[in-house]
Amino acid sequence: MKNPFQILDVPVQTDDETVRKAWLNLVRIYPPERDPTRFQEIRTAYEAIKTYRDRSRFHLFEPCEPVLESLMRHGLKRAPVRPLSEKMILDLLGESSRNWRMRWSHKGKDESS
Amino acid sequence: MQTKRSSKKNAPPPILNLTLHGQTLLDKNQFKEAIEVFKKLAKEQPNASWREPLIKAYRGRALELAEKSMFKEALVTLENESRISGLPIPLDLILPLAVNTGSIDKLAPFFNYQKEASSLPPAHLLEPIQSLMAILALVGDSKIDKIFPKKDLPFWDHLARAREALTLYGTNQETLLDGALAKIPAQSPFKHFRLFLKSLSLINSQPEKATALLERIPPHTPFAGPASVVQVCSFSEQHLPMALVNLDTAAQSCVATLVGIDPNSISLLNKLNIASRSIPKLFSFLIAHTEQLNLDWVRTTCLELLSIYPEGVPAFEKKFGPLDPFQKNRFLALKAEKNQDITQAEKYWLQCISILKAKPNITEDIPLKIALILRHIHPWQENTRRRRRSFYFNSDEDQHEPFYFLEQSLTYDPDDPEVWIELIRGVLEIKEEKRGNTLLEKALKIFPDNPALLTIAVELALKRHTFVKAVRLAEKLLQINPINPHIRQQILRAQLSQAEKQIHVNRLDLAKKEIQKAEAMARNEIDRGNVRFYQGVLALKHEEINLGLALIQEARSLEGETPFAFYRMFTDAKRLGLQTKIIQQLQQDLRKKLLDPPQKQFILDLISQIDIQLPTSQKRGADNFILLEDYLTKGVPLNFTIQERQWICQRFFEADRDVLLKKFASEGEKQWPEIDCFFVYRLYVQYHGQYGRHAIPADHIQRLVQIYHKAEEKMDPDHLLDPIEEILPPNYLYEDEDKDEDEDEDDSPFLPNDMPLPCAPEELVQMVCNFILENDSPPKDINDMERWIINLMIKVDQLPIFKNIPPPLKSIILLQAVEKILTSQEATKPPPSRPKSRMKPKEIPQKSNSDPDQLKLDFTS
Repeated sequence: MKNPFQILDVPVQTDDETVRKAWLNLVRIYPPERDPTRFQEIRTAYEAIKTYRDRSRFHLFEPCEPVLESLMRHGLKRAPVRPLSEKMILDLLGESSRNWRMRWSHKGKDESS
Repeated sequence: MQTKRSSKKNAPPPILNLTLHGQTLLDKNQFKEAIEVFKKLAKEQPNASWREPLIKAYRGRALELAEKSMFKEALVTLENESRISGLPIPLDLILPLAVNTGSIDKLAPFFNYQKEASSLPPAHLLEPIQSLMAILALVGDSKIDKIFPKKDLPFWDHLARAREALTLYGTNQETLLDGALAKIPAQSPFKHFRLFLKSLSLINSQPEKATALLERIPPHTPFAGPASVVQVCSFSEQHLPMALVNLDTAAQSCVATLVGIDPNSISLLNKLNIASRSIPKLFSFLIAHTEQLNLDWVRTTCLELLSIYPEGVPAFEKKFGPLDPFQKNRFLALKAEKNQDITQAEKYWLQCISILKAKPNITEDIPLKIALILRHIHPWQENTRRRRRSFYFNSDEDQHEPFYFLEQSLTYDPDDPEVWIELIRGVLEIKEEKRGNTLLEKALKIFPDNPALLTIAVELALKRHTFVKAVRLAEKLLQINPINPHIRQQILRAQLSQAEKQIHVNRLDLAKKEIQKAEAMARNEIDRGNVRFYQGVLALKHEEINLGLALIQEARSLEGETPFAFYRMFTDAKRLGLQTKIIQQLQQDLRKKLLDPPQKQFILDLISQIDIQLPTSQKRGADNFILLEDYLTKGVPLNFTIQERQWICQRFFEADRDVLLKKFASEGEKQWPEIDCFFVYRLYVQYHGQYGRHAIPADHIQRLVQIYHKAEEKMDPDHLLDPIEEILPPNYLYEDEDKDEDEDEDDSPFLPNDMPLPCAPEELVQMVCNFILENDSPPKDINDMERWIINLMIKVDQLPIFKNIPPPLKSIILLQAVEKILTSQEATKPPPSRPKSRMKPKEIPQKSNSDPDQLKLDFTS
């Protein structure tokens, strides 16, 4: 099971109201008609930690895998924002043109096959 | 010379032959060989008859090579074709080859245009190629000079403007940048670069506008890649890191610069992404990078990870110091659960409770934690109890009464109605009505308006014949849910039962009042018929015979003249002590009615009546039931659904109606052989009893064991554990479990599977049987049994085949042989009746001394 706290993006020590708000907010972003899988995931997470009793039960018994996105966020260190240098842009364009050609080659192969 | 020329070996093949040969190769798509032949022909043949086929062969070969991704070779072949045909290679052929080989210059003829639109390639090819050339020009690829050799072409002018804009962006001159970008025309090959550069300048200040610009870059052009990289910059804090680690290094670096991310953290994220593919690796990674990742956060995350990776406890303790004893036990419990070692898991959870109880400061969450742990281990406790009961036939081994943990949990956390309901339902299911009632009263004090609790209370009151209480509770329930027809029926039922109670003590006035109240509750014909019947009964009690009979007749017609109505009125009349003549008349009417062809619904109604009569009026039902047996038997072949037939079998199993059970189960098995329950019930009727199990074929035993474990896993939705436990001994059901625990005190008469034996266990048992029967037949007096077995033991011990068998095993083999002999003797006797409730082990009849299990215990003691 994925970590419902991380799915709903609420702290581990939270209250019913915060969980409910987080759930409603996410449901608005991912309504069932647009993203049914994500919606279901959010709903399951909400059901798992809806009340204080649910959260306590979850903390005691539910082994859950960490959400990678959340782990990654903690690894992110900020630095000053800068515009790209000419060289960086040209490197990016050069790399992209090479990738595009490679993709073209694969696309050509796929189409011919 | 003449001789040489005329020699067959050195003479060139005739031209006609070569032409035919080349054509054949071409037809067979052997282009390479065809090219060789036609080239040879070209040398010999002055006229150009070979030209067309050679062109075809070159084209075919080029396509063949391109198919094999040999783009360079394909391009050369196409050039050869072009040289011979004198025509340019078609763009759609040369384009993929030029792009793939990086020979963009080969496309020069298509772009060295004189501003005539008709000479340009089609738009779907032109746009990506123009973009590619724009990029190559920007990065200074020399091939561009070959494509556009004339420096006065607009391309060069556009390139100069694009470079100027790039410089302005690099030097952060935004106002000038807009002007420079505006100079690049909308139809220029650099038009996508214009969008790209503008979006770069806006990505931090106006990300939505920047994204909208980037979306205008077509996905099939080479600018789509850089555009998607810039789009990552607009991602939220949550999704940015994941998007970042999926980019290549150059792209990562660009995003990091634009968004403001420390380059070192990108490297850390990449490693974290790789480590996250396995939990142990992730755990080790986090422990090793506490400094870069924040010590507290790593500690919390690792603590969470320990619940799925309890093996990490030592590493965690090494890094962060000893774990809290509660947490340590929790992880050990979770680890045991993961390994499906429920005994250990329970032990660790109970230790957790002890630790929590011993804490000096009882915080708010401690009682809740204790309650939750007790609820968590409660199902295991009940499962263990069931198994123990199945082994020992009594509950003396049980430390606690049933549902002890669940009940205890409510003393710590009484605010969860669902737990109360689960507990009360469970307690009532095991027929502990008094305890159930006490719990129900406690629960209703906390949740007085809970509909589920009130419903249980009404049902229990009816069951306990406290009809006034039942009516009071049901009326309360009706206030909460006024449109529930089931509650109305329950009230009606309670009022009629109360009336019946009054009739029994001859308080006919009070009975009349109750019947009047019930009449107000009646909402359908059946309910009205029910009420009318009681009114008839009251009239008969007042000796108003004609009125009474007329009311009973009306009741029958209101209820639809069904066999069920006839049966119910007959049994009610008997119970209410009506005049014998009337009862006889009702019985006669019922008998006549039961001669009608059976109908599915009537059968189901009648069987549900059996269910209602259990367990409170079982004896009365039993007498009357004989009347129905023929009718029900006639209903066996009716087209019941699987669920209906399964329900019927369950009812007959509970009511101990073996004959009907066998008929319905056998018919079910005939129709649906793959459905387990019919198989189980059929076997149950056939083999249940003390010795019947020995006759079950091995393949049936195997299927029964499988069904048992499947049912156990799914919490026995079809109630199959009971019948199986009654025909299979526990050794078969729990073969591999608790082996170590029971090794020294095994009271099983069955042979273990892993003991070294000189031959198959069955053969060994048979040999001992033969030996016993040849030497000494069993005593007739049961009191001599023990002495007889001891004598046998001494004799059997001297058998040569027993020489190397350990003593405990000898005992088991001997007892199996004894059991086999006794079984064959007992087989003619009828099997003893099944105990009514396996939840009350004390009701199980005492085993006689001839029970081999008992013998074994006596003997070993």
